[in-house]
Amino acid sequence: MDRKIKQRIAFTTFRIFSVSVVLMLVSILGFIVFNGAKAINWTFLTASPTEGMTAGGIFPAIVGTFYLVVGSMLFALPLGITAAIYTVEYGGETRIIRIMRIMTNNLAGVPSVVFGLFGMTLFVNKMGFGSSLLAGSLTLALLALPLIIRTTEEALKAVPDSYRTGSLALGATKLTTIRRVVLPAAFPNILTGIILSVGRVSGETAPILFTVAAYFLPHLPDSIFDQAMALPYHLYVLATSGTDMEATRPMAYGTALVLIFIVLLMNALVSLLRNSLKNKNSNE
Amino acid sequence: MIEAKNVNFYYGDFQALRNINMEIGQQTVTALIGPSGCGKSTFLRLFNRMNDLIENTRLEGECVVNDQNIYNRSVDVDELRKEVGMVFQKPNPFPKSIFENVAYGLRVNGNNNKKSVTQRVEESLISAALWDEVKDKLHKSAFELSGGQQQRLCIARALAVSPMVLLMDEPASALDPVSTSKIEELIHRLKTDYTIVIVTHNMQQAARVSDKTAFFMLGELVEYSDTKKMFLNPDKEATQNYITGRFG
Amino acid sequence: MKQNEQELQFLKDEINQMWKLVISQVERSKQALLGGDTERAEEVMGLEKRVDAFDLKMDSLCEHYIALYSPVAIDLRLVLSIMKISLTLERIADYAVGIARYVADGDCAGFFAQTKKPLEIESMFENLLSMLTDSQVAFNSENARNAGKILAKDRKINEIYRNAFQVLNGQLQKEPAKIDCGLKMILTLQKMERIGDHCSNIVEEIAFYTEAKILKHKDRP
Repeated sequence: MDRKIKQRIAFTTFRIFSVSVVLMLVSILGFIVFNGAKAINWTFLTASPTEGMTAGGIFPAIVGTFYLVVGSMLFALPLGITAAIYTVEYGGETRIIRIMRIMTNNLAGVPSVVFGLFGMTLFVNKMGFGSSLLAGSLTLALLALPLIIRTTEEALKAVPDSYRTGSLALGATKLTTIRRVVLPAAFPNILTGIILSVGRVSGETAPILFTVAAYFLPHLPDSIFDQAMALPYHLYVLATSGTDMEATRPMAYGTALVLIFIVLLMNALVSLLRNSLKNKNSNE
Repeated sequence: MIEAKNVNFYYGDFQALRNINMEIGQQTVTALIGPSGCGKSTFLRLFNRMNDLIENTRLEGECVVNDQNIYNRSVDVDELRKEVGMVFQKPNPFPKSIFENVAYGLRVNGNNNKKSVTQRVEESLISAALWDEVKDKLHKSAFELSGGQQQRLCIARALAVSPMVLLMDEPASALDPVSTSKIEELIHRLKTDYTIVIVTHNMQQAARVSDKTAFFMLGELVEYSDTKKMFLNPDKEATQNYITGRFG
Repeated sequence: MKQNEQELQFLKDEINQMWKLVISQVERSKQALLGGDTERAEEVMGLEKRVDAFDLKMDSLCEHYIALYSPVAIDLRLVLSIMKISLTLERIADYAVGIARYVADGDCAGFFAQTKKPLEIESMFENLLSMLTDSQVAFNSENARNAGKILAKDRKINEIYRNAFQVLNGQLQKEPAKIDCGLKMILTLQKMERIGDHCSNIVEEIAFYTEAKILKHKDRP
């Protein structure tokens, strides 16, 4: 009896804590939705900021963030996935692989502002890209790389070895085995890693601060060497250094809402794709 | 047809096989029995070079398939594995449809002729005694099949590339008695076209399916003789103790 | 001891019990015949049921053992030989009962007493009994080295049996009226000769059990 009561107390405590975590998240979201929804309208989504950013919209920032996400993934995905394939499928457990793994883990722990500084030094100054979409995408790609490598590695390791041996035993080469059996089986989990890194990339401020972001840019970027606005940086600007803080407050909430919505939308899209792939994989 | 000549095999410093000499005749079923860790699975996997996948292993001696030492430098391992198919302990179909599982071996070997692939898939499924059960759901996932059906699917998959030898590593150990007896039936029928080597922990299974039986212990081939003789009157005391359950 | 071995030991114990009983049956029929002892003869006939019961019991024990343990190698040979030995022992006991029955009839007591010496009946019985006990020893020591010696005794019995015709012939020419007793005697002798053959079969089974050697249907030296 005594033990039953103890159990009940323990589990009730757990429940209260976990519910309170959810409550906090919901209240943050609710707060942003409540405050941001007032700012959202067609002009807000499609127009450039006007009157010292106290009016108008955030369209250039939306487009800028979109470009940065696509640009960084263009660099990070091929690099990260091939690196992961190498370490898991070919590398074995050699010294070099172990060092690579430790480095990747360390890279994942580096603060994003350091990536920003590094990007500025290398891409903006040394390589002469200037403050540009290219430099920003490359910096964000560096940031996303460890995450993509790690999740892809885990995805590949989760593929049962019996698939590999089964394929090899039928006379398939290692490359064919990876291409035809391992990657298709790992793909849904690799997508999860991509979702995570897209979320990360689209929300980061520090790396783009020195490499791409423009304080205010009334037009859209024309080339990869142009500067661009981006949602997180725009939000930062609106919240800290606007010309009229009170007037821009609703716009800041609106920007935050759009940012969150975009991230959630991407997550939803990719999980949809992931599920349909999973079905197709075993049911083609 | 298959032969091991003075084979020694090492995992690092551990010697897993000790001076094995053994000849396996064409179109026979040979059972490899012995306690866990006796080297029987290692021996089986020599013949399609699956041991190559394990790091830090070393082979001395020769393994001959079709008059050729398969460990010669000139031998293409991928070609060898088409000749020497393998069925594993746990059914391991790919996460693909039933049809694609069987077609896999053909496709990776460059056969993309739709008609010939379809025909070969059907033939293989018929040989593996699975056709009647799956002919209406060829494009369903292989995972929808029962464990026993999955194992026969894996056998069909191996047969599709027309091997001469079929290696089976405890093919029925994860299956229920009904599925097991179906696999055993199948082995009996396949014997007319293939040379089959099967590792099994099930003494009665070895007795039922095989023509010859090899008893391994501590990496040595203790006894190799006709199954009928071995199960009535084995030559070696160790064999007798093992097959009558008095081991250890 | 493992379960499997316990079961085998039990089978061995049971067949030994049966063996003992059958030896005592042959011993009793010997006493009955040599001593013209009808009471002994009745005893033999009374014990027949026990032998039959043993036979049935051994059958079912062996069947169960095979069904449950799927024996191979020496275990398989042991069980198969126990099955055949129990069948053979039962036959031997039947012959002992047959002999006892002629004694129990009592009508030829005089003739039997008169002819037992020249017919070497005692020697025949001694050979039979030692075949039975020696083979039991061989079975229990899992050792068929004495098979040759035991089989030699069967040849001795056959020799006595062949000589018996002449002896009986001479006796009956002197007493043609005892022809029916003579026939009974020849049948008795025949039963004893058959017991000897069955003992040989047991020895063959033991050789199969211990060494997987087939002695059956081979020309013996």
